[in-house]
Amino acid sequence: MPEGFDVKWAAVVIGAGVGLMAIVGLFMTSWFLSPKRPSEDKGVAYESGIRPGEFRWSQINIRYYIYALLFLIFDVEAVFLFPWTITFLKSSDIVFYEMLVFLGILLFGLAFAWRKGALSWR
Amino acid sequence: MNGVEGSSVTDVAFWVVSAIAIAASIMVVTLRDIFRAALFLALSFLAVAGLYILLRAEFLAVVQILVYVGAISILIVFAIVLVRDMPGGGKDNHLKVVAATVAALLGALAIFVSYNSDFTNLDALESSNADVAAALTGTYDLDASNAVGDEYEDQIAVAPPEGAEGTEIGIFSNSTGSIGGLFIRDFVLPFEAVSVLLLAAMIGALALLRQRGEES
Amino acid sequence: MSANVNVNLLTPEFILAGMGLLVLSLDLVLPKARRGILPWIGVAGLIAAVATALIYRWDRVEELYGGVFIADRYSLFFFAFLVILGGAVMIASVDYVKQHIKFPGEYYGILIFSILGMVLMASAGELLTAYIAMELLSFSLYVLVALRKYDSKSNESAAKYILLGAFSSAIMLYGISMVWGVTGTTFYDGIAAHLTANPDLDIGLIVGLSLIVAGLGFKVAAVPFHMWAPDVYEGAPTPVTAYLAIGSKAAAFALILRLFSEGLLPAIEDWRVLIATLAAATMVLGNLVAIRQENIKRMLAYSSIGQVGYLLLGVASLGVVDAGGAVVFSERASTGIMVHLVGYAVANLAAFLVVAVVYSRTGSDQISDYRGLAKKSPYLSLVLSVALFSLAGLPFFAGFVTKFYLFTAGAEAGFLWLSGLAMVASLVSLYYYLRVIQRAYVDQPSEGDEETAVERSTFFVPLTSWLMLGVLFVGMILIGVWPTELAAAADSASDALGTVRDVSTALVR
Repeated sequence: MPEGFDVKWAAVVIGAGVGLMAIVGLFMTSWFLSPKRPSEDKGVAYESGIRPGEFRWSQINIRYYIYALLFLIFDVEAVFLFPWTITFLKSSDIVFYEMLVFLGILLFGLAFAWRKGALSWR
Repeated sequence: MNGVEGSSVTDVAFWVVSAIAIAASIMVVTLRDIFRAALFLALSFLAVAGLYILLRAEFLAVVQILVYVGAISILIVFAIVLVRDMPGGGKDNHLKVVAATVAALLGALAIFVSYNSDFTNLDALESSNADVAAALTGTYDLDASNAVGDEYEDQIAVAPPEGAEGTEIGIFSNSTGSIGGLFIRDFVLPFEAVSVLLLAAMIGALALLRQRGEES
Repeated sequence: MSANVNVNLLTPEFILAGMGLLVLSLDLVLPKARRGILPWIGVAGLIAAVATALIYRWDRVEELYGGVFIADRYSLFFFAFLVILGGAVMIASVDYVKQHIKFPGEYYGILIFSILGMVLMASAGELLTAYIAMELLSFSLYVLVALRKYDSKSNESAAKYILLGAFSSAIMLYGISMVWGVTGTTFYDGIAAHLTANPDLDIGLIVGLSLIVAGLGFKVAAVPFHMWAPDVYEGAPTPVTAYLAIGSKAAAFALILRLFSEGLLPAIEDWRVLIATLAAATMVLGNLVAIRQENIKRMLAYSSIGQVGYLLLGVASLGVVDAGGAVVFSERASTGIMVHLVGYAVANLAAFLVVAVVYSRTGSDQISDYRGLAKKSPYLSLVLSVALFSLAGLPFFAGFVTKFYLFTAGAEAGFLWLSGLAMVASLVSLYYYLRVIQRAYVDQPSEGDEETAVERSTFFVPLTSWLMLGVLFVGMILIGVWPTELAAAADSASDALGTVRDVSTALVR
């Protein structure tokens, strides 16, 4: 184990904890300080808007799913980019082109999707 | 649990993170509301990312957060809102007991194997951080098989940024660098194959998801 | 080191990937009416790839990237076999795709990518590469199975296939990780070295290898991992079913053969009985359940499960322990597997192509609807009969010779009982194949019977399918009466397995 592994991560944990507590603290503070006069009208999502109907669930358009899938695929691509970025400067040129091929093939997929109209909202 | 021994802070962290992961997983399979179950799944993904960090696999942790917590969870949530609402969740299944038994047996087997088997490779990983790259490639000895090995290994095998001392790069160990070295050296071929795989998946998904009347 | 040579060695693979991209791009730019040309461009590209490979790799034995990719006669044999197979499936799909599938560009492009996955499976010398190649094939197949997306059966079978496929891949990956944890390597030769040095298997290694076998068992649909196959085969578009039954199995066996003979051979004493048991269960169950099937695609699915049993018999016989306790690689067994794969592929493709043509005329896959086929189309029923006879292993057809190779190798390796069982299973299979043939040739409509779908339809066989069936017909006869060339090719491929290769790391930097 590298020296100070836990000490350094402890900094991350403390930072995250402080951030979290700042958020929670802000909400708590406003909750304590604010005057409270509850009424039914204030409870609805849009005060003075249309009252929500009984069915709280509606099916969304499948198109959102296409975007989610494309997001996932390019997310995975990004994962492959990380290790490459910290090694390619130390390596020879060919490594750069290896990644260009990788990206090119995926960009082809994006172009294909575009051309097929999968990205337009009709 | 390699990598956490000898340090009480990481021990505590390990138990906390493991408890969160297990509790969240149990919620996933017991909750009736599928939407909440999905959220707990995301939490358990996150906790597993914490375990990766404790195992000093920082790159895997980042991947876990990017892909699983970020993308897969979103995909699952989208899949849920795509289908109709099921108030009160799904119906009870008669196979509940069977499933629980099978899961318990498999879990027991996994624990038994991890305790009784000789994962020598993990010791190698722990003992020498600098040799991560070599350990990842296993018995493949670059110097023996290849005359230009030394020079080549200097070039790409482990590449800490300028100014970093030794093998450790700030808070991150060099697992990302070693993985990158493997990608561009030994495993270029599967690496490029992955891009073709992703392309096939993308094109197939688009063909299947396009709506009637939009096909051209 | 100006090692551009090494990357040039991959030219055939580059051609395959490039052809996939080219077909997809042409799908974008060509007007709809002219997209019928796509499969032929693809086929031309496949021919170019095979020609390049044959010319360029004929006498090359090399390892690229320290053994990740192995170029030898074995890889070459499977490169030629699998690419030609993929091309044959491509030609066989032409008529079907025109009629039933709305995405010709995607269909052919993804088909080519899957061929790339198959050839990489055969030449991978390392578990992770083999795994990724297998995923490339699997992902492509998931899409191909689902492409008839307004057909609810196709959807159902695609959903089943994706779930079980992902499940089996995960199992296999878990196994790979355990093997790596114990041996410290994913390279086949490294695993072999570990097994030689540590004859007592570690529990992690046992579980890991079992998981790998289970994962591969799912892919080839060996009993008890076969449940998905009949449902998926039934619902998938028929050319894709043929491809599932032939291509994905042949590629999986290419992987299995290399993994077992180059990686796991030293521990053969530990796994041969397991594999033999799987083989016995697979051939018995596959052939017995096939008897009861009324749908011809389901019947062929179960019969192909039975065929996997025969092939596993070959895997179990891959090595014998000699008097000194050393493990000797049995080239006969591996030759038998390869030869049988080729014979099985030709016959099964012919059978499925007939089914596809009949379906496109009648819309029915029921065996009972095949009555009157001999009258309506003598050609189709002749090819179907020859294909089924060949699958059953009757003399003069491909199946007889290839089974002969396989079963003798099994008997030589000490699995006399298993070879005997395989022959009995073949007899059983003859029974249900004959039922179809009887339906087509002998059965007459009795009083009051309704006309079958075949009798109602007007029949003509589209030219592409007609020619393809002719080629397959000649192939079945040719392998049956003159198998020496094929056997010689398989022999030289077997020679390549397990021999020491020249390790040249492809450092093109």
